Amino acid sequence: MNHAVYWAEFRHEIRAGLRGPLLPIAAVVFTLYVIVVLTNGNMLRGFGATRNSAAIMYQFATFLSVYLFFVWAWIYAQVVVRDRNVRLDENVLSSPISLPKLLFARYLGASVVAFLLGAVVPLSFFLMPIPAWLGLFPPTAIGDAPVLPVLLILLLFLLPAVLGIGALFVSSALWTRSTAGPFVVAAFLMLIWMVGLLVFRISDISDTLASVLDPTMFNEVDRQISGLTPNEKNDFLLDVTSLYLLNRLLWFVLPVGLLLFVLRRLNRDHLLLDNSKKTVRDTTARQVLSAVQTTAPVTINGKPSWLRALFSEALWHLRLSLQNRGQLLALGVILLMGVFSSVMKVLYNGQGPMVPYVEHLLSIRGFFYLFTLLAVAGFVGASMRRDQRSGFEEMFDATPAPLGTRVLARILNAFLLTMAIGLFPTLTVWIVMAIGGMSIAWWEPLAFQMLVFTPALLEIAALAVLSHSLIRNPGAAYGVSMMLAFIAFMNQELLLVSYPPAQIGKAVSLSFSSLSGWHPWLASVISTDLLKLGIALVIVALAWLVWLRGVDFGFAMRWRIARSRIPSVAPLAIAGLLLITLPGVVLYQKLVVHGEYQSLKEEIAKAAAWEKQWWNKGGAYSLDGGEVHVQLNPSMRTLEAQWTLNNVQSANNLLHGSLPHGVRISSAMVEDENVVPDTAYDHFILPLEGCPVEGCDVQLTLTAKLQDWSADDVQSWLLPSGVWLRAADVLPTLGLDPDGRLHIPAERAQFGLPKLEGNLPRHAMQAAEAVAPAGSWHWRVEIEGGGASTQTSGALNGPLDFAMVWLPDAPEQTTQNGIQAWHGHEYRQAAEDILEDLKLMTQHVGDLLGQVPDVRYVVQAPRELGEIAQFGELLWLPENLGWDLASEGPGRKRRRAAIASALSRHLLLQATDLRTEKGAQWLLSGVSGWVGMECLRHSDGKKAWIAELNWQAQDLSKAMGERREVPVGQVADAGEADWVKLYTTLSTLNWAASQGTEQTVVVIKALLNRLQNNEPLPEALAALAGQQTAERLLGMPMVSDIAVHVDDKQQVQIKAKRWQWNDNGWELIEEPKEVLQIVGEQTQILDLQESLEINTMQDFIVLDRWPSVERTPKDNVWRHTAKP
Amino acid sequence: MITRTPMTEGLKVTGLNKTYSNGVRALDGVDLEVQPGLYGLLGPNGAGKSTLMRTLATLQQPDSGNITLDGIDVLAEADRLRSQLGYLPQQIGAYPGVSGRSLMERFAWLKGYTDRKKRANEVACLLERVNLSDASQRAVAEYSGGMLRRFGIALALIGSPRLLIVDEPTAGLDPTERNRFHRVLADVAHEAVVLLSTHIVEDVENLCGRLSILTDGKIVATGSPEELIEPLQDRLWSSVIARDQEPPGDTLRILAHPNGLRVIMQRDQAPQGDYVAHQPSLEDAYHVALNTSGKGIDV
Repeated sequence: MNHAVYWAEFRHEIRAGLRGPLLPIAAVVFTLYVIVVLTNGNMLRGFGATRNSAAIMYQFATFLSVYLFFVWAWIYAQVVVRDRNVRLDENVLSSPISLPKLLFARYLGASVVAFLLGAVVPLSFFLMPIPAWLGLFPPTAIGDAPVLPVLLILLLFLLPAVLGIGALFVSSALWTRSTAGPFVVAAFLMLIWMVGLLVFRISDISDTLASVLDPTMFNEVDRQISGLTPNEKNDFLLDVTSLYLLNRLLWFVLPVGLLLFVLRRLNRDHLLLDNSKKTVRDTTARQVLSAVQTTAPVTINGKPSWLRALFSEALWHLRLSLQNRGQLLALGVILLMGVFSSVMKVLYNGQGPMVPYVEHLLSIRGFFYLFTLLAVAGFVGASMRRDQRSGFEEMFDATPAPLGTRVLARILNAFLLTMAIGLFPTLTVWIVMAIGGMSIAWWEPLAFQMLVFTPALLEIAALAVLSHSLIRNPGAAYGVSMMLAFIAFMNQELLLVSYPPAQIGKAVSLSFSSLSGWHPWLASVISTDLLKLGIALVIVALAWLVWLRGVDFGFAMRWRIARSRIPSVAPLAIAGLLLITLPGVVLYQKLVVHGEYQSLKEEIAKAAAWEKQWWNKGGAYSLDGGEVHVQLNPSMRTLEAQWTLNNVQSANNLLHGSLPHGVRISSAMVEDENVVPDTAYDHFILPLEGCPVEGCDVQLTLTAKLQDWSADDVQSWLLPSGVWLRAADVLPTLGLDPDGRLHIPAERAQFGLPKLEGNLPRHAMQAAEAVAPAGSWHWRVEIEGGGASTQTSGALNGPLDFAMVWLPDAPEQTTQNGIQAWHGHEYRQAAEDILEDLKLMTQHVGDLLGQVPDVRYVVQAPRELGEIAQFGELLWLPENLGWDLASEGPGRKRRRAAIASALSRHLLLQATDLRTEKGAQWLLSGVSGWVGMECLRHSDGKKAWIAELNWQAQDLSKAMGERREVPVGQVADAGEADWVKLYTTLSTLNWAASQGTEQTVVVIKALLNRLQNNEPLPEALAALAGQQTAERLLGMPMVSDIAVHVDDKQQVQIKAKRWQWNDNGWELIEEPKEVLQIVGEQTQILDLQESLEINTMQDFIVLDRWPSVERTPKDNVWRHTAKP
Repeated sequence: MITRTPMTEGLKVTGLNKTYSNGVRALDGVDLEVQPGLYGLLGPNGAGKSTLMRTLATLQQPDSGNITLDGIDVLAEADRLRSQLGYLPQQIGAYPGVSGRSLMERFAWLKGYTDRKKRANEVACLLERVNLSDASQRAVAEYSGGMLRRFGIALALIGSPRLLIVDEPTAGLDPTERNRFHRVLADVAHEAVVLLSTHIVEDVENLCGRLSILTDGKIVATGSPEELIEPLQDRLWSSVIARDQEPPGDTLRILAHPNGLRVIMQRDQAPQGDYVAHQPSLEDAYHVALNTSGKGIDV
């Protein structure tokens, strides 16, 4: 037989694959999705790389292949099962053809279809000029079309992926003679990808294994681009590395080899697909053929209970679903992976074991959540398709059970199945609790899963029900439902939709604190759950409308039937709409009207409006101090405060201030005269005309009645279950906040704002990290609660900042060396460790800076409620790093560094009375961060210091990479972005290393003196450290990449590069000529231009001599045991 | 809803029309009147039998026309008809992962047997009736072809339907199974309208008191087998011709014969040649009806 038949099969497979709605739906949805993400993604606002950069395209193309695997599984399964579905399998198998060649031709045809599907995402990047043309973002935000990178991803990733992964799918379909094999393979591919990413990469076990094992190649792409600057990311061409080749060997060469082997050994018998071996022997045929037995039938009297039929039907489906081997296997895998993940996270955490905590123990986070979403979509789909068997479907449709009974039973089954999957992680927690002997209330993980995750999963289940009701073609329905689940997950990662009630498929955001328990969240969680349930009900009501009964598939007929069903469906839809509307209104009131939620667009517009209205009215101000009296009623969530400011002086007779959330000025008096503040955009000005030379006394009466719910996972500071008050929560912050302005040039241009510059005197600004500049302050907080009144007060000389805590039930108290720690009951050991660490770090900070921090109280604050900080005599330690780490492990050392940094930060603040002026963040974050590192080095040695250096570099990389929060200006002008603290710590560390600790301390002390004499920080630093050094520390950020490696001649070499940020991103600048080699306690300078003779007999680390930040500290370290 | 209505009228179909979106007119003014008992529906492929069956089984909406069963307007009260309907489609495949009894139970509650005890009795009774009691705990996917057909009829008989629609029920069954199946149908037909759609004319001839012949969506003949055969008495003639001999142009049927081809002609007089009188059968009547309607099939 000539090859024409195989060529025809190849073309037929392509035509068959392209037929149906899957490809057009996927093409349109993914193209739109990519455009929407790249247009609206918050992450891309400040990102130096263009929106259509090669790096983003590589990440999208490889990451989305996790979803594509499931679609490809369907496409490749058709190679084997299509003949059987149309009952032509025996005809084909009996024809005079080469079966291996026929199947191979079909496999190649299916590969073309899979390739086209996979090419949608990379090709959609060519459409990015359209949103730019429509003015959805500035044209400068996109670069040239990434032609070469797209070709490269198609050639290096997609082509081998479709052939290799497709070969696995076809082999498994041949083995199982059904679609089950390919879908099981797809699930395993996803698991392998998760293991590579979570276990090997994120847990920092082996990047190599992560890159090689990952079938999506996402890890390898991410590895290659993680060290790139934004500019490099724009047109980066993927490297054909040895890891890439190994990966392709594993996922292309071996699978294709396997397929060829399988095809070679294949025989027709195997594909006959009958199950004669299992068929029951029909013994009745040999029985004596007497008259047919005609036992009297059972008649039904009365009306059937369709409700009972509904439950019987739902439970019947649920039982079958839970008996299905594939689903049991998937649940088993979820269980094993969940237990493994929880054990790794809590017991074998990279930073040491953690205090057991329900959120950490639950494995349904991150990519596990994606797996769970896809499992829900897949399993619900399978149960929806269960009756689609030849003949049975029509017989079911001809039964008298009302359609509503059958539809609602199927929906109930889908929801019960989803709850079973959703609650499964609870089992993992119980297992881990048993393994680790942990003491958490047994019901907590159950309640957490039920209230936090399951409602979101129900939304996905409802979407799957709708997809399968609407779309008759099973492949397209599975594809669409899984795509919707995938998009829901991607939205969580990219925050495309930020309004919590609209985040379909996203678990409720909360940060569960052991101190306040469920109370702060219960109302918002239940409201959100009800709303999600309402959304799910409306979606399934739609599914009911379009549910297929009978064989009328035409649109017109379905439309007619759908309209006729409206009266039946209406109660369900109305119930759903009520559940959406009532909680929706409540949530809107709580989150938007009374709360702080704003969309990104609104935030930007508000910042622009604020700047336009207030910025140019700013003027220098000063005061001498004053008194604060706050009265709180936690159960009513109300506050009233009187704030007296003494001797306020203002250059332009205006006192600016920004109001905390929910607080308003009920009255204002200047020199005992009532004045009316001008308020807008949470900012006010008070007129101070007619003040005497020494200034006016100002009295502000402030009130608030908080009615908000948190829109993110940070709980409110004022709740009936506790008060965690910091001064900025109740008092206006005086002055102007330069960080409140828009910083991104394109956004400024969009709102007609001039180029960003510091045109106001520094004394017009807010006090750095305080509500008012230095003065003599007295504060008192009275709390009415629990039938009694409690009072806390204090006095300070310095910038006004204070904090206090109140709990209705007295917390646990631990006292050591006269310092008292207030904490939750399960944190006794942690409290003892923290007090020990505090004592140690207090001593080291005192030794280093010559001033001993004075801390009397340590309080445990709820998770995410601020950072570790000192307020007067109180050390504020939120959960997370502060409390979650057990005594063992390196995480405790990280906590020590953080405590030391917080203590020194407080000392620096008190010593300088800085405003949010140029360089303030460098001093407060950079210098205090360096002090923290130094204290760690003294207390725990060099190894711990290097480990912390690595972690901070990784955190910085995340802040600059994952969150795309790249710097957009000079360090001196940088606000409180995440990257600033990490960047300035590491750059200051380089600077300090270049001159030694003692000299650095001398410079810092001298700097503090100059600042106390009111000298601007940049000038003072330039005078002390030199103009060039000051410019490098406070100017445009710099990164370096220094690597110690062994060359071909087995000589140790040092390679070094350096980049600096400019308006368009990172730019390669002068290479480092000298580097610092730190050996033990000694630091020496290595001149890289001279031939080096490096002493390799000792461990050392090399750093840039300039105050830059090392991108990859791992390769800066030499261990003499690694000597060639 | 399982309520008994006194059977006064049987099944009445009038002016049933259905045209698919591709322009194919599947039913073209179909009229039928069916009394209790077995009623056959014959017709070539594509005649509209399945469309008619599905329409009667409430799986499809006609464009126009009326259907009543014992006075119930089927199109207006589909659920009421369903409570009196048993439907066995042409093919039922294997339903995976579930036993015969379990699947029967499911059909039973969907047919209104929501009382557990009564349901169990009904299922046991029907399984016994189709000789599947022993295999009731086995997976349906493991049933042989014959067992599946018997299982199918058991499903269709749940609730003692007044109208039983069976589409090609004996296709692929061996003679013993076929015989058994006929007896089950005949038994049911004592109390119900059994509509049997088939290609196998012999089945209709043996079982059905009345039948209709459908082609191109139209009923072209209706009556008992005898009534349809009667007009052909002494009007059919057969002859065996050589395999390479051209049959006459107006041949009614051509059948394979060991010595060539058997040609059957419809004439008032014996045609010239070696023609002998041919005893008419229902199959001959079927072909005559198709020829008369002008929709004769390739002989």
